[in-house]
Amino acid sequence: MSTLKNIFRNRVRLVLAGTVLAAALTACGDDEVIESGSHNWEMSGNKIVDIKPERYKLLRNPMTGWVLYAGLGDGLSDTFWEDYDNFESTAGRVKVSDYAHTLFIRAAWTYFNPEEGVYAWDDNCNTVEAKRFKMLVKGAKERNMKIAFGFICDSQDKHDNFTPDYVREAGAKGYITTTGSVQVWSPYPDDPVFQEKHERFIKDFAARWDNAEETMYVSGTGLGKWGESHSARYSTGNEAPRKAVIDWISDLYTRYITHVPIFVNYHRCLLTTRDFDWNSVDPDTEPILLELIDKGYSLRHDAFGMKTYYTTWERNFAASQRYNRPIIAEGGWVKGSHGNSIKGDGYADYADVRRGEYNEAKGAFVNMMDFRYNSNLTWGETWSWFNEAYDLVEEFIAEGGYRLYPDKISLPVFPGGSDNVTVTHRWSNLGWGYCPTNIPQWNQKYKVAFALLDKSTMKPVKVYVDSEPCLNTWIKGRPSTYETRFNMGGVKAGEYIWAVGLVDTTRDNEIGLQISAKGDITPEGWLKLTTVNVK
Amino acid sequence: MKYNTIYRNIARLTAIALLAGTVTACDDEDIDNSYSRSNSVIQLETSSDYVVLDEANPDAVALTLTWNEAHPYGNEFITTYQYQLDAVGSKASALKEYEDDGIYTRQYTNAQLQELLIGHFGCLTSSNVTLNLTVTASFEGPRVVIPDIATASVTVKTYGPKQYLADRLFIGGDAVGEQIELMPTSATSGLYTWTGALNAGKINFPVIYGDENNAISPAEADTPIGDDEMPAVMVDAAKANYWVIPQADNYRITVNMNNHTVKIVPAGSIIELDRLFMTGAATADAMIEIERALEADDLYAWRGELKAGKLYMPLEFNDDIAVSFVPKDKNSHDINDGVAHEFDQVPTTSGTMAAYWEIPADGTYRVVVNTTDHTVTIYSAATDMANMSVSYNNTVDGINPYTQEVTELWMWGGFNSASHDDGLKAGFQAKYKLTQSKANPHVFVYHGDALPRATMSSESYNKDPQPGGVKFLVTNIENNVYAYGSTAEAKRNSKVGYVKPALGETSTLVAGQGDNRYAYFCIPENCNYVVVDIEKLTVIFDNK
Repeated sequence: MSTLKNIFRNRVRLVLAGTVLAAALTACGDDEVIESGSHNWEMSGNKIVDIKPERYKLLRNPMTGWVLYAGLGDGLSDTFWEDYDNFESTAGRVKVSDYAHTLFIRAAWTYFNPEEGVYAWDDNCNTVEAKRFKMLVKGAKERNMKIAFGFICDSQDKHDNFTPDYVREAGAKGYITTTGSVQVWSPYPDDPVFQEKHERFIKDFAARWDNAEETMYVSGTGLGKWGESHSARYSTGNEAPRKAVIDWISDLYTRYITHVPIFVNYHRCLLTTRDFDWNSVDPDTEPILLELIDKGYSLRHDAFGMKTYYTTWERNFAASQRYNRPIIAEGGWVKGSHGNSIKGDGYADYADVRRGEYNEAKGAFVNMMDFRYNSNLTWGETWSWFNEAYDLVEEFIAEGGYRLYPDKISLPVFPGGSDNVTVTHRWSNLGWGYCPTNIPQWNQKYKVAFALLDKSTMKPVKVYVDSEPCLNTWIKGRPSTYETRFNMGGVKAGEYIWAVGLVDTTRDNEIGLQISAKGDITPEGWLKLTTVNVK
Repeated sequence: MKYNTIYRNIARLTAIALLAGTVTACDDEDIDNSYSRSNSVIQLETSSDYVVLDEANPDAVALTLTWNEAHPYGNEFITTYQYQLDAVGSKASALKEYEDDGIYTRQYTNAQLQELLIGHFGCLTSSNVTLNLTVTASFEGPRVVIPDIATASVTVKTYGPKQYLADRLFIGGDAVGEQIELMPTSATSGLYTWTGALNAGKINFPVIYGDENNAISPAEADTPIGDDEMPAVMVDAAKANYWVIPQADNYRITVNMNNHTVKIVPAGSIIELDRLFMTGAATADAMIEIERALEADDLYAWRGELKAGKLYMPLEFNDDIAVSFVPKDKNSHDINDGVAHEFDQVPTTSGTMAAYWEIPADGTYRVVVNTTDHTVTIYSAATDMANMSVSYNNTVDGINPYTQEVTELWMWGGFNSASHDDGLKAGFQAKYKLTQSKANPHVFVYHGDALPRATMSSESYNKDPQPGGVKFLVTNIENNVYAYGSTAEAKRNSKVGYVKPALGETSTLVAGQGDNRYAYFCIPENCNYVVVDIEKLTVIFDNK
């Protein structure tokens, strides 16, 4: 029976009334197992409350759901938000921000940082790209969306220099490539001048944006072709500097960005000099990726649904990290540029492509998927999702990522103000992904909490945080049950409302995650359970 | 009411298999998947097995389904119900919904089901659709429990425009008396053909499709028949119009379900065929094709050995062999040796044809069918047309006079720049050889790529060669053999002449081994078809 412990956690823990102790957060590695399969639900003085799941609403929880993409280049529509607020779909005109709550701005480092020490978010930075950035951020905030970032340094296949000119002018060494009729410059990633300038950028970026209130995640190393960490070019002409560069860039990101998740592409030739080669796996890539994961990186892949780029190696690697790190899926096929190539992968049409991407993403248990940008809003990937696979858009909201709810809670309804009480509660995850509280940037900051709400204000009078449940262990199909004992902590006699919530322990136990339950939920996110008379 | 235990068992076994797969993926779980511990108790019941949606009552309940609660496993288990509905044959995704509120029933009005089937699943209007309904109860708890899956299926008849489809198709109306069922020419052709006697009167085509009694009919009442395909609509049989058959006769009917057309023509007036055959005892019952002649689309010809005995000529049209040519005089079986005589079209009844030709004796015969004149000519060896025989000075073999039957003609002249095949003399190319007609041994035909029109002359005294010069030679042994040239003025060693016919124009040939050999035709542009008649001494250059 002991092996059941990992499925159905049966724990009793004394929780101190009031704010949780930081030390309690370390409890997720413990297993205080009691007899499984028989929990103390019907306790004297307790009432069992059954809760129904809410399966379909967009809850806007972090690191789950659809991601809307934007760039900062000339292809971006001046009416970006108006376009997406009135977007064509098979369900009629819709507001895309009702389906996606993350805006991913992936653009040239140059656009974010046109001059040394000058940034697109600065009030006095008025480049056209900076204006676009401000437009995007303002619109995202108005729509209750968080921002994600991706900075691309490499100019290969681009029409602009993606690394700011001041870097080159400072003496950084690099190389010229030709895109169409345009010659563009990229720095060697092992160049010390480049590294010095880029460090300042990341440091200053982090000072402004490394906060979970505004930022959802930061993506990629920004190096290599398209910023996808392949087809890199080093000053030596070979791959000798590769490992040092990976160490440098990963140290840089993890040193400065400590409050929001950071992502690296998992593919088989991380920062090698090769173009993406699906026929061979670079033997050093996997150990390097594991190092980066240990440092705190999460995972993304930008070719979901492309059957020659996302294949067995990628699937196995994703499986090896399931529930250890969240995965972001970006589709690979592009309507505007790949056309009939999709048939090579056996797709009949783009509805079929979307289904293929979706199934691959589902197979990788991803947390987030993408609505990529196309200046032709009636043609690109986002249009395709909404008009050729709308059911999957809704299905991912309902079943992708994570949705957490307690289906049953046994609570004391006539406790004394200083009594020790026991609450039995069971939680489920309705999504195929997971709530990544085990990433170092989150460090188990989200916890289950029970609150006594004031009957008139519906604000918490007392919050009891249960340090035991680790939300990252809540996996679909495996409900987790806890018996939590705590002292009422000297609550004044009177009638209150028991409520449950998922709080952010780094923000004074304010609600951090929305519970996916039907029922009476306060505007802050406390799910009301039952009336309680404290004696 | 429907409760399908077979489906349940299949679903149960599938679930076991799926669970087994899941179980093997987890290395630290004790799985109690004993089948005997599961409780399969859900019964899914529907208000009917067959529902006809009523367009006139959109808000009336058309279908109700209910199921009972799954086995109660107690507080330690979470029971989740998922309801799924899908339409057989639809590419649209199944509708799935969780039932978390304990409402173990679903109800659909006529309008809701119609919208679901037509709008979401893309099913056909006015058709039967099989709906598969599934309720799955899943259990999450301290041990693995097999999901309880119940299924049912319901056939739903949608409303709306009728489909142009038929399970069975008939000829109806007072022109036919008792209805006659038509059979499709093949499983996929969408064509129904029939040839037979109709009285003066009215006709349409009753259809049975599912539970519908429809008819293929004209849009307007009492529409006269025409020579061409007529548009036809599928309507309720009670509201169907008719075509008018003007007089009693044998008619050929073609119903095209794909094009939504009907064609009704007197059987004797129009011949519809893709291929023509002959069969009977004279061919040992083999189907021998009589191929279309090269020189005319309305001529079919064959020459070979026949046995004494019965002969008739089946027509293949739209993959069907429904009609045969037989003597117009049904009581005569005479081949009218060498004399063209009329045929008639009758329904083919394999092996039991009452009308036929009787081949009098084993031997070589030529059969020529003219579908414009509606005639057949059967030549025995005694009456058959002989090959033309010509005499000339064969300088190659040193024989003069040399006599030769003409069985081929070769184009020769500057038109091909004196190109030649390996082993042949200058100017001779096999691809420019004319083929002897099987309908008439005096007719030779070229039909192929557009002919070249090079400007060249082999005669040194020809100072003004013209493009596309050509004449026709009876053999390829040399260019000085018996020839068919043009009427142009020409004289050996002094003058080369040309006639410049237009496409489609008939020109006169001059035959012999004299100065006519220097009288050429200029092949007109875009000419890919040449017909030479060495009996009538004519040639036509054309494009076909």
